[in-house]
Amino acid sequence: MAQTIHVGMADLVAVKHPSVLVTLGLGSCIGLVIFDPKNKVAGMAHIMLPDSRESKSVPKPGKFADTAVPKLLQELLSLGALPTNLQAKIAGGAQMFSVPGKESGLLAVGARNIEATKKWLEQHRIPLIAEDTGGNKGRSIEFAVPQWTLTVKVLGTGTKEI
Amino acid sequence: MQGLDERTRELIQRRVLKRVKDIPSLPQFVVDTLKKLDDPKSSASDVADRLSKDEGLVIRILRLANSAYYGLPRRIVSVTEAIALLGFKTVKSIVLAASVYKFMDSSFSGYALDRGLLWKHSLSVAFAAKHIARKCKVEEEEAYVAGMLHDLGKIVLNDFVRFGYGIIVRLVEEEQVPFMDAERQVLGFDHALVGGLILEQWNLPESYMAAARYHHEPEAYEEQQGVIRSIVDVIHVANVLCLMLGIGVGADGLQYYLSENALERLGISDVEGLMSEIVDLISQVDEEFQVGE
Repeated sequence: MAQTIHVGMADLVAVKHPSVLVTLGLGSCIGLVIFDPKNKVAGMAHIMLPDSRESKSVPKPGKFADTAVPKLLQELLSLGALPTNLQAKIAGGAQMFSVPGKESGLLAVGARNIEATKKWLEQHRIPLIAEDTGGNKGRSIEFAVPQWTLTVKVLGTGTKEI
Repeated sequence: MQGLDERTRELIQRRVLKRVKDIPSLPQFVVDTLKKLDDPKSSASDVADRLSKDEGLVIRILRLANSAYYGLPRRIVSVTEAIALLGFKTVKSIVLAASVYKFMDSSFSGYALDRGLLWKHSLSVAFAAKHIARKCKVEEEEAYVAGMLHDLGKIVLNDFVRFGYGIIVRLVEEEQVPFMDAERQVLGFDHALVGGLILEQWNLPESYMAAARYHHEPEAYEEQQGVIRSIVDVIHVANVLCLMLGIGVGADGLQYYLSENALERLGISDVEGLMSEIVDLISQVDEEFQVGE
């Protein structure tokens, strides 16, 4: 039986055995999975915000896109993943409704999270092969190892696999 | 849009009001206890005696008081100890929070909230509100309780939302109206209004009623100044940030407006910084979210 592992807020988990990695409740946050299908290694991060602003101590590197991507990469490599095999999928990054005629950058945390996560993946040359992002709905996600499918439950709507 | 016919709507409205009426009030001993906690002449053991009638409630109070958030030096095992270490004011809001637990301890499928999620959301908004209140010099404990109570209307409206769900969702998607406006258009009530009605019936202070009533539309609250204005704004912001952080997010998702005026009135400019603080705070109280055990 595959083991189910919950990845809480700002957490980050890497595994090298059959597992289901689960994140419940993504609003503007991002559920990021990076995996190496050849060496059967995968990890998930529950990213809350785009930027750690270089704050000196980040006790939970999963919290920010700029600290989560390198930390997850490092953990995957230590479990035997090869950089050239790595692929990524993301989900999340929803937004509040914006008041008509009052688009605000201040609150576009969802969009900034998506953008930052993509930027850091690109920086580390990890191809993003699937995403379900944006919109105004909450999501929960499950990543099956070693099927490599990311099941996205859009709350109140339905489920899709990416 | 294909809506409900007039007769069905009227029937729904009557039934919503009936369901609000049927919500039991807070037990008299809880009401008495809350009064005792307001009275500086009360003794801690007096308060503890009153509460001891309900063992489940005492357990819930102690769990909340022992939460890492309060940073007590040791695990406390009695209400008397809680009062000694945390003070009457904090214990009062904990008692109120613990008393509404039983109303929230189920699943609310109309909102796609599994069991425990409404409690988790409410408690998180309570702690987030307390944090924001402290930063913005607003009364902390009042903000905490208002946060705990803001979504109470969902416990009544849930069944009706489930009934009208298809229409509500279509309305939100096709016309991009907030989920709450769609509730109101389809059912004649929205969860904020219903929450306000329940709290009115419970005879709780006006600030809690106003916070529940206006938590998605703070601009609709008329007063421009004063304590209640600030509490309404604090709850609005705390709720939005918790939704953005995905804490107890349901079928209504993020389909609400955020009032930038509320942020301005509170003097909040660094939203991401505040969200980051709330993440750390909520991780501290995380163990409180394990329900049902």
